[in-house]
Amino acid sequence: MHLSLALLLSALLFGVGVYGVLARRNAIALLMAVELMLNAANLDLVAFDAWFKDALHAGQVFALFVVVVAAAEVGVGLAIVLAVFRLRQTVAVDELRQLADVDPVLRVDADA
Amino acid sequence: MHGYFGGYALVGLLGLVGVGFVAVGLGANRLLRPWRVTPEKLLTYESGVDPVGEDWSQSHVRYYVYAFLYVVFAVDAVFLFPWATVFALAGFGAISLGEMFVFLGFLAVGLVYAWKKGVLTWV
Amino acid sequence: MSLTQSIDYAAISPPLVVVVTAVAVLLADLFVSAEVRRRLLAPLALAGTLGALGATAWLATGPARSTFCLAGGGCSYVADGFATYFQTIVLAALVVVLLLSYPLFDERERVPPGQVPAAEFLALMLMSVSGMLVVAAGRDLLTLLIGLEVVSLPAFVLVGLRRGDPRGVEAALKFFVFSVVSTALTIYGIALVYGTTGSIELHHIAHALSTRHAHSGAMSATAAAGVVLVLVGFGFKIAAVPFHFWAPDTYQGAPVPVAAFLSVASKAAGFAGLIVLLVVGFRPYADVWGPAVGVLAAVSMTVGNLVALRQRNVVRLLAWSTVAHAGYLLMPLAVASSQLREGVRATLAYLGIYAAMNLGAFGCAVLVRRLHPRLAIEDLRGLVTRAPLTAVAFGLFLTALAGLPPGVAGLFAKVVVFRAAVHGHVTWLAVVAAVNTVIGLAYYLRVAALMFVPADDAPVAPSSRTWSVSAGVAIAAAVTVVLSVYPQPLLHLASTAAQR
Repeated sequence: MHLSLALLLSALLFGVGVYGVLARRNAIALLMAVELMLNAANLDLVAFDAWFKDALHAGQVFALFVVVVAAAEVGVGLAIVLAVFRLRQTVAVDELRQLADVDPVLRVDADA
Repeated sequence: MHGYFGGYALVGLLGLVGVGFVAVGLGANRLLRPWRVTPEKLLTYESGVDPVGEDWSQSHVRYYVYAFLYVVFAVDAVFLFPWATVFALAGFGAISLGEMFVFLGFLAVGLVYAWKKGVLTWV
Repeated sequence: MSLTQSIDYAAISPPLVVVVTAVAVLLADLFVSAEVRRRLLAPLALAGTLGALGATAWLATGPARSTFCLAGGGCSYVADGFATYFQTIVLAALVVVLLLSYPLFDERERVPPGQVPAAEFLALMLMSVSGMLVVAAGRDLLTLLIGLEVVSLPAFVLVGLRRGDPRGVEAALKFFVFSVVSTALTIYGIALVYGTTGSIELHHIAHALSTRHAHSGAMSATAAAGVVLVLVGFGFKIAAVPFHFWAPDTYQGAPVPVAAFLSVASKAAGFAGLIVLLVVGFRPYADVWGPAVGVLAAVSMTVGNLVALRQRNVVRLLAWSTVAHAGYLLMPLAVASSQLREGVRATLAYLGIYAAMNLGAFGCAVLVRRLHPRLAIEDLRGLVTRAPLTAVAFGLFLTALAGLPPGVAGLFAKVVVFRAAVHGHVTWLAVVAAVNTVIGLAYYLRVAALMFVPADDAPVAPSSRTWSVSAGVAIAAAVTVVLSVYPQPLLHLASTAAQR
């Protein structure tokens, strides 16, 4: 039963991705962890597609769309990270604390 | 050598042969050659030129845009492959061809935008 | 099985018009002179939106149209009463948001700090709306997911588009990170649902899930896990607790009209997808998601209202208020029983009224920001003497959000969702909501009262392009007043939309 092997690998990849999202503070590394999660889902989709022998190939088509979604997310994400670095000189997500619930009024600077 | 894992066994065997070939070759070389080191001989070989700088270097961030444009268009090309497998079949034909060009037209708008905004000029 | 499909272009005309307008705006920006751009871009976008609104109205009067159908049954895109109801809300919200954002635009080549490039802003907003229109009509997991992504990707950029604004990019990054992680969870959930049902079409999924549910075991558990993971992505979109962390920071850092857009249009699209998934696709697992939605609703309204109590910034206060409203909107959906149709109707009606009053409140925040860039609540003291009309309008919207006269529309909305919850035997949730309504009164009325404290300031003259913000607020106020006096048409529309 080879389906379970693919599913196991996919679950492991997904776990690594989730760990990366929770543990990494660098925005780029975080993006890479998200990519792992997406590719875990892709592996699942393609494995199920092959297993069902789906005449419509819904799983394969879905995986193609997920690849494109991932590329689009990375494109927009890197652009945002670049903008953050230009204006804030950091890409560590836990150092971005101008917007927070700590003290909303005192932290509001004159941005207009 | 049958079944699903049989193919992998063959690949594994080939891998072992490859590793063995390299190990035997390098080992024999090591036993036979003389061993007299000088600082020049220990330098990293870089096309006969003395190596410059560290092994860690960063590319300029401006290349990001080219990489980005490449990724966007390369990835959008994946939609061409499933289309290419079916568009010659009965029932698809001219309309499918036209639809794909509509899709490519949307991509072209993106490229025109990048071009007019001066992103494509080499710096 | 035939794989070729004919496309009913009439059915997809609303998103089509919006996308073509977006491309036209982008191309116009590239090929016409700066002086023409100034007068062309915003009216072009507005015209496209009104055209799409016309197409939606025309679709709403006719019979339901389906397209991208399979020979084996099931269509990917259905323009029925439900879809056109949401499309109308989203497009009407876009009209108001475009009016609110007009003073932000700058059509020149080099955009000064604090402004946004007009063409990019308009094109991105139109693209995001096209995704919302698709989500409202999407009837398979792929269409819904792509729709949701088309909503989100331009929205990240919109949040951070203001030039040289370090808080805008921080807001965009936070929004982005939360969104992509929840999307990844959703896609993994979709993979599990596909693996246990063999289809991505919602009717087929419902059919397969009902047989799965009958035999408990590993497959049933996997399907349940998939269902829950898919719902996480939509929970994020509607900013329900515990998927709300991005919302206050993003709304505060984004340009205020973009925050209005996210809190109304994006939330509406999220609810459209959520309702379709729950009611059509995942109906057999109602015993799994029903209590979960109930808990989400209760936690969302409670956390939203309690945190709103201690806010000192107007936009942050409104942001937490939208989190609380996500709870009220979810409440009728927790009725996962035979009364679900009435619950859906209540959520739809609430959403229509919420759209008007929330857009109005954010619009007033845009007007106030011109006088008080910090947007601290304390700055509102005596607003009635500096900007009397703004203060009156803001008061109307805040009382409506609280559910009090003179904003009776909000009261109608609350009554509708309470009734649905009680009829559907989730009375405990109605009790939680009642307590929350009282908490809500505290902060809405505190702000409203502050504005009417007399002060000896002179009225401030409006600057150029502020007329458009005032027009947007006026539209929202007119709709709120009409719904306060005569809500029957909206309730009727919501009933028709829920009949499916």
